[in-house]
Amino acid sequence: MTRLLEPRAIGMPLERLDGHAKVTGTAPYAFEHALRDPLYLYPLEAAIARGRMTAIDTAEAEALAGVVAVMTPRNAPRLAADDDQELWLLQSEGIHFRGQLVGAVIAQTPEIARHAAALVRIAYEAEPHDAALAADRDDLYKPEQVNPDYAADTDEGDVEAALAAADVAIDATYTTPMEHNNPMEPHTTVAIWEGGVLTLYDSTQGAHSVRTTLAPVFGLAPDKIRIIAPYVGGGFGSKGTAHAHDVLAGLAAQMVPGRPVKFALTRQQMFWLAGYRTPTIQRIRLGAGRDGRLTAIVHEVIEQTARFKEFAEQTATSTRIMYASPNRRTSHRLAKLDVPVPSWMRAPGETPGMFAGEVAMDELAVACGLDPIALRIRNDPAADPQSGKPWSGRKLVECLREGARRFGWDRRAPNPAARREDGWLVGMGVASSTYPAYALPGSRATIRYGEDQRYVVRIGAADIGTGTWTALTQIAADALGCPIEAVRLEIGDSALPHASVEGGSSGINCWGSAIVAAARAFRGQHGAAPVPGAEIGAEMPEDPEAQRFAMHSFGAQFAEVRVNADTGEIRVPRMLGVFSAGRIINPRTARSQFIGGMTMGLSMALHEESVLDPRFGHVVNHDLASYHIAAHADIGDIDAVWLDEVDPHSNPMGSRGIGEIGIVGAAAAIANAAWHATGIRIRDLPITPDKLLA
Amino acid sequence: MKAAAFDYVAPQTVAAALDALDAEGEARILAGGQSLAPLLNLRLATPKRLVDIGRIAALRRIEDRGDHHRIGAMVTHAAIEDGGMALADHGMLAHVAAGIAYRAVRNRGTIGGSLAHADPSGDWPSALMALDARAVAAGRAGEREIAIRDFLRGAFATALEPGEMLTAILLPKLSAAARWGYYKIVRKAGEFPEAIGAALFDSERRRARIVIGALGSAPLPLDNLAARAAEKGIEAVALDAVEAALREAAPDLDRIALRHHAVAARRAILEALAP
Repeated sequence: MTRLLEPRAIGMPLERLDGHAKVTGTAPYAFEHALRDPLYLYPLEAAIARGRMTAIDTAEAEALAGVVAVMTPRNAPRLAADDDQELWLLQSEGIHFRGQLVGAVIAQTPEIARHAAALVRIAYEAEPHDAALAADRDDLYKPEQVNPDYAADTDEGDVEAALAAADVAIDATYTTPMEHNNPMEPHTTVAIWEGGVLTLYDSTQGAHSVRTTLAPVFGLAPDKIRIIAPYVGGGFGSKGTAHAHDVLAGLAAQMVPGRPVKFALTRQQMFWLAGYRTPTIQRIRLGAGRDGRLTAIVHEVIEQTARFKEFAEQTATSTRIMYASPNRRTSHRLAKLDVPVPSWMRAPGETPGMFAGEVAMDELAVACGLDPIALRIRNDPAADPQSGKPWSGRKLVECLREGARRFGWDRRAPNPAARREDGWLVGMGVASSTYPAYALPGSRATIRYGEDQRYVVRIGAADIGTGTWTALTQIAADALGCPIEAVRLEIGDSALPHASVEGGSSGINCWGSAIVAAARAFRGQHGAAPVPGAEIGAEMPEDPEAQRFAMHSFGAQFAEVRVNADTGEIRVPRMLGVFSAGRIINPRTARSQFIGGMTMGLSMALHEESVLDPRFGHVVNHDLASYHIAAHADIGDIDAVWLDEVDPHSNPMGSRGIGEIGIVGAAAAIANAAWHATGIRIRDLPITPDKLLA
Repeated sequence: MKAAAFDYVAPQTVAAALDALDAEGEARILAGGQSLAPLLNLRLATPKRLVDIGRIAALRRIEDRGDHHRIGAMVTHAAIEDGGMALADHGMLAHVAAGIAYRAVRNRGTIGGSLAHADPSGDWPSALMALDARAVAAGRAGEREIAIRDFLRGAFATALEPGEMLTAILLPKLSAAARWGYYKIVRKAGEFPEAIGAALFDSERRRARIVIGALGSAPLPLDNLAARAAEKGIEAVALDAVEAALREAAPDLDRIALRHHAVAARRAILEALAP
């Protein structure tokens, strides 16, 4: 059994320690660090989706007053490692997707840089490109594994026989569109090349992971590259890994040694340079007895990747653990297209996969004449169906029951389209959510007792707006047995001890474990009354229990949907999420994370859709005016609560991570509620009025 | 992007403005600039000369002319929204003005500029057609009046001749018995609408108007439907009846657009006729 912390500061709804600095504008984001004598970069971007550049005329741009340099494949510094083609910039004339970075202007002002970039003339030799995903393509292939390292396919039992023999069967195809992360702070890098050291002020979810990725690309030893990111304005996964703009800024900095080069993507550029969620086409087949007990589950996924680099979203992996059935099959097939490479977007895999899976379960409930909650309870597995391991704590049923009680599920009519109020059709829907408890290795923390009688806790962790500054301080206080005022946290810098990325909802678990290990070592070495200067470091220990248990968080999402009978307008006046995610470190910031995830799920359900024009290979609605993200006016009464619990097996805090589970299942709950309101089953996101009027 | 180069003149009188227009065929009138300025910056419009009529005081006046008001073309949406000029319209213009885009646009945008721009999704074309307003066009030969339904020729197309400018809108006074409705379906606050419905019933003046806006062309009056509504009341204009009338008048509308426009009209009718 993991030795658990005694929670004192943990569990307190502490206000953000960095809140004052943020609202007063004194917390520096990547672009804002006060650096002397900066230059500004504006990129050159490919205007074709596939082919090569045959000529680049930079004369007019170079002649412009204020232009310092124009960088193209002809004069760009050489890179060292080409195994990540997304980062292999300006080393050849090849074009892999429209918008690819092919050069840059470095100038005295951002305006001059942008103007000069428009004066560069590039001639292309275009090759035919292919940017349209379809289920009937004959070139779909099975990836070796799906993100991060799951098997592409699983097959257990005999699903075809079970489906043929099933009393009740569901066979339906669900689609989710291409979607783009749009954190408030655009992706930004300020690069300085000085004395053989590259420093990046970066907007990132992981200072060390950017360093680890970029060091070999630039051919630098890791200690010759430093990433600084104390405050980050959102990421959702799109800042979880280095992208091409980091490399472009680093190359540019090498052309103007000693001068900071500032580069912030425009909102439009984020639609091709910062990753996105692949569109998915998902066929689900369920077989069940009349009592709703599942006998077969099949989840077959078709999605896209880029021809020049593979990213395989793990869309069907949640289906492998959600419900019990003797016969189960999942598969992922990809199309390689001439498009930007997909990447992480909040709960990659679970988010699209649980939309399809949980709408399919709703359809099965209807086909069996069962309440959707009863159906889920009936199929709740006692152990992980995939690994056979016991759960470290699966409390999906408790979440469903608690949510039903709070949401007033007993008032839900059994039949759809049964309630009409003042011209609005009203319905309720439910869906499960889940997310794995990842533990990434390698985080390390040091603790030093200072002259000011405070404990300086150092770890290169990231706060992307989630509350890391506050939550890690609470953990450190409890680990040291001191008040939170006695802790001085330092994060957001690769010069600090190594920290894993803020991704996979794993940050607090991993960094907190490292801090607890360091605190225990500190007390063991230096006792309760240390002398100033006492210091020790420790690495997050391996958790032997992780191998024995299946660790996943679960939740239940409830939505009330109103559909206007005349226009098909959709409103979501109420949403409730009930989550089981282990111990909650800070209820205030946790609630924000849950509600934020649910809001993003509502946005996915009703609004978000990147429209890719296959003729040109670019996203047409590449701005926030036409790519609508839920605004306050779209959001009604959203609430999130959680079970009061501790995961005794996960880590010393008893936590499992909360950054992503809030989005999982939210879109399904809304789709299921829309069905209940109207009797119309929408299987293609987003749910827009035209689909309900069809 | 920035606008292509253009000459700029700011005449003090309508006569001087007409001179500036005549001097070169490729001049454009700049009123509030809320549509034209973005078009210039996107270089979708590249006039040789801009004739800024913002300094012509006469165009900012509202005058009582007995059976109608004369509203100068340069009266802003905000001025109409804020009221205080006692138009005999039962507040319809103030209501319509308050729903145009957002306040920053309304502070600059003008009723005349919007009407002359003739964006099918604009508010004034539909509202003023329902009110049986008339446009005043000034040219070298003097002024002429044009009924709004003749003035609006199509999407971004009006009856203004080259060398003419819109100087005023003549707004008939409504009787005490008049009732109106105006309903827009807008996906995002401040955006252009998906559909507009405007309705006016003035039994004393024997006028009944239903106008559908935000189509691909000029607003569409449904006079027969309006007459039926005036005669028989709300029951005669259920959603199905509105949709049928609209389908007949605009057979090219797809099913979704048809439904949205019919709903907008129906809601405007309800506002006007509901007890």
